Amino acid sequence: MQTETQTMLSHSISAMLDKHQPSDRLREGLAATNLWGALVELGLAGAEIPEAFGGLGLSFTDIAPMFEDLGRGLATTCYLEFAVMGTWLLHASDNLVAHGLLAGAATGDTRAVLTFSEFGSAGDPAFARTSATATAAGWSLNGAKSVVVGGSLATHLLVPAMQDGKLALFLVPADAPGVTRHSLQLYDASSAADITLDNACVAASHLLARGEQASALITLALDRARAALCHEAVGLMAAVHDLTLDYVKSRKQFGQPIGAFQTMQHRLATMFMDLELCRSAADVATSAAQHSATPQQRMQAVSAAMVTLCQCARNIGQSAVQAHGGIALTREYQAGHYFKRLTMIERYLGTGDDHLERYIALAS
Amino acid sequence: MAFDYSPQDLQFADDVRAFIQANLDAGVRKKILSGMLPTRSEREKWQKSLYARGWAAPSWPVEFGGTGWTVVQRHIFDEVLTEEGAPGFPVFGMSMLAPVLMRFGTERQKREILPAILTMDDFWCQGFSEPGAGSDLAGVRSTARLEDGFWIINGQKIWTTLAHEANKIFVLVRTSVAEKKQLGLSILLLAMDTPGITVRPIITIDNHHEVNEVFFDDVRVPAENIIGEEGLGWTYAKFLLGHERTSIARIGQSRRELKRLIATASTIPWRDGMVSQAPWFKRRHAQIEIRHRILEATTLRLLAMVAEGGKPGSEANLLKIHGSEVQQDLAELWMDVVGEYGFAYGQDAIADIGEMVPWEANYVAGSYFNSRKLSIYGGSNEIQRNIIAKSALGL
Ligand SMILES: Cc1cc2nc3c(=O)[nH]c(=O)nc-3n(C[C@H](O)[C@H](O)[C@H](O)COP(=O)(O)OP(=O)(O)OC[C@H]3O[C@@H](n4cnc5c(N)ncnc54)[C@H](O)[C@@H]3O)c2cc1C
Repeated sequence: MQTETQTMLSHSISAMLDKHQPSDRLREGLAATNLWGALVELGLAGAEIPEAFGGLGLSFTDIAPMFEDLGRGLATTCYLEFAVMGTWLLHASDNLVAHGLLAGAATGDTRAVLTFSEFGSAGDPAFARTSATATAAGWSLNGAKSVVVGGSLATHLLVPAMQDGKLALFLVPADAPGVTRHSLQLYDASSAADITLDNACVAASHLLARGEQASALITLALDRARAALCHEAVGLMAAVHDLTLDYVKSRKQFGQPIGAFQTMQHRLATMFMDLELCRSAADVATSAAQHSATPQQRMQAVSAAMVTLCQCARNIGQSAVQAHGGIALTREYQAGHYFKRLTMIERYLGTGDDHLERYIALAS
Repeated sequence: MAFDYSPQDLQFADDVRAFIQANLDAGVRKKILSGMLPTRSEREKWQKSLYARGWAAPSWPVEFGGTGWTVVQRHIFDEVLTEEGAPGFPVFGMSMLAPVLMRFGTERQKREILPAILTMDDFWCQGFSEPGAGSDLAGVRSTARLEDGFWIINGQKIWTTLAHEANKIFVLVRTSVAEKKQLGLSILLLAMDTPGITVRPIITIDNHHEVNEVFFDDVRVPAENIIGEEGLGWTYAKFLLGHERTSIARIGQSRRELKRLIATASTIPWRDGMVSQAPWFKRRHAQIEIRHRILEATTLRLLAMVAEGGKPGSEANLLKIHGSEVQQDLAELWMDVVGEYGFAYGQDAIADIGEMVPWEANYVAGSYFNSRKLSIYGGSNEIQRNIIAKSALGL
């Protein structure tokens, strides 16, 4: 059952996306149409920020389901990066400098991204090689962060770095001296940046968390993002399943709709089952991200959801293409774009293999 | 090579390898190893060097310029070429059109067309599929009518691979109205610069230009540019596609990718070690390697059968299905090996991020998206299974 807030959010996202149909955006080039601005206009930049800081004071369970609508509309927004991870971390870190940025974050003018990935770290900040050393003025950071989605549009970076052998989280203005960004275009139409930190200096007050506390914060931020990602994937899968279903009903070969062939029917039925399983997985992950009694329980539930998601996203994406035949491989047709986004999602915040491993480790 | 080859065979493999090293351009090699298509002129240059050596068409009978090799030698040749990153043979001309001409063509067609395929002075493309005729190829609607000694062609083809680089095309068109849709079809041969032909590019989801739409608007070709008899095009088309399917498993390419994956994985960091040491990598790589090994054994079993004069049945369908799946699994594993860089789009988008990231990362996502075609074209895997069920199992 959807709550009133969830329904309201879903309606406003759908209404917004009606004005930005995937077919129109495909024509203009998906990349040119990051819809972050449209979400800001809806007042959603600060959805989870308490009202005292200028936000809407909503909970994660309120906002997570709207990712399904974003997925359906094949929307590139960076909402996951800027709001679910970035802004949430600014608030959760309990740091005065970070809290000072919340008013800007609520209007969308401040955009912080968590730079969780380094080449070879398998997306896990615990394996970060970026280092932080104390200087007279504060901290000096050195290292490289890879393929940071939203990294080229961000105003602030949340940088996991090793300090004295322990993980720590730093707040770094994107224009701080020593920070270089190299923009990358990604296949699913989002943009990213490789970011190097070459003696990037920040004041002492920019250390947001250290040790256990930093790990806990970052892991929670990522798990929340994973839950939201599950909802987005559900939207993508539902849309591409609808497209495929329509297609096999109308496409005729051998004098009949290809949907009349039993092998095609089974393929569509399997896609449908995958979709339904992912709906449950998204609920499991969201509920865990919000309510779990312990981090272990949360992580295990989220990884269970991610294992399911990765498998189903792959099956549905590949099946949608196969069922369409050649047309799905053309850039002009929508199905291929859903397939590409699903392909990225199943690897973005840990692969199925990674999550299976985490699940097993937590169970023992 | 897992097969027990004779010392002569192994010597032969070395000779082929030495030839490639002496003749293949390094830039072309790198391009092919990264999953990109060589240009027409790059292909042509390579084909001409094979021609000069007498190796232009190992699959052809000696009288037409073939090599007279044993099936095992031919297998080795294909393998080594693929492994070393040499451009593939121009299949549409060499492996599809040529066998049909040798069997059904006129003496003049053989004399005029075959030599130019050997040298690649002619580069052929295949105009069979249409918007309404994919799996159901006999649903072709493009027509040709005979008028004053000319065929007048009208209609549209789609998915025509490399039509923008080819100078010749063979098309399947309806030349008469018959009760059964398999009847009344013919295959016509024409030059791409014939007035009335328009080629429109189709850009695929990997952002490449590989396939096209080809439109025919009152295109005139001399009446003699037909293969065999009018109305028997379906028989010739089936003969032609049979040749396509046996070569589509691409054993050599998969072996090359298996090797390259290990090599690349051992240069990419993963947590405290390298990707090649990661449990998921080892497990998945081994799984694909095993499938590939059995696939190769099946191919060799088939070759042995052919060598003894047997006629393979649905093994060719099996090879197509299995071979395409192995290639697709490989493309998937590549994505995970290069991690987040798999998503960066565009040639050399990530060239300047440093030595650490292998150059292949620029191409793996594109290759993965593109690999989905393997279970669609050449008769989709569903159609292959239908054939097995029908012709081998009598269902
Ligand atoms: C990259 C690429 C290159 C190509 N190059 C060429 C070329 O050079 N020349 C050329 O002529 N063609 C070419 N093709 C066309 C190719 O042969 C067709 O795409 C293929 O025959 C499938 O047709 P379709 O795409 O229309 O799909 P459809 O036939 O519409 O099939 C859609 C789905 O329905 C399934 N289906 C259809 N019939 C049945 C059935 N009876 N039972 C069960 N399932 C069924 C199919 O398996 C598929 O999953 C190329 C295609 C691609 C993608």
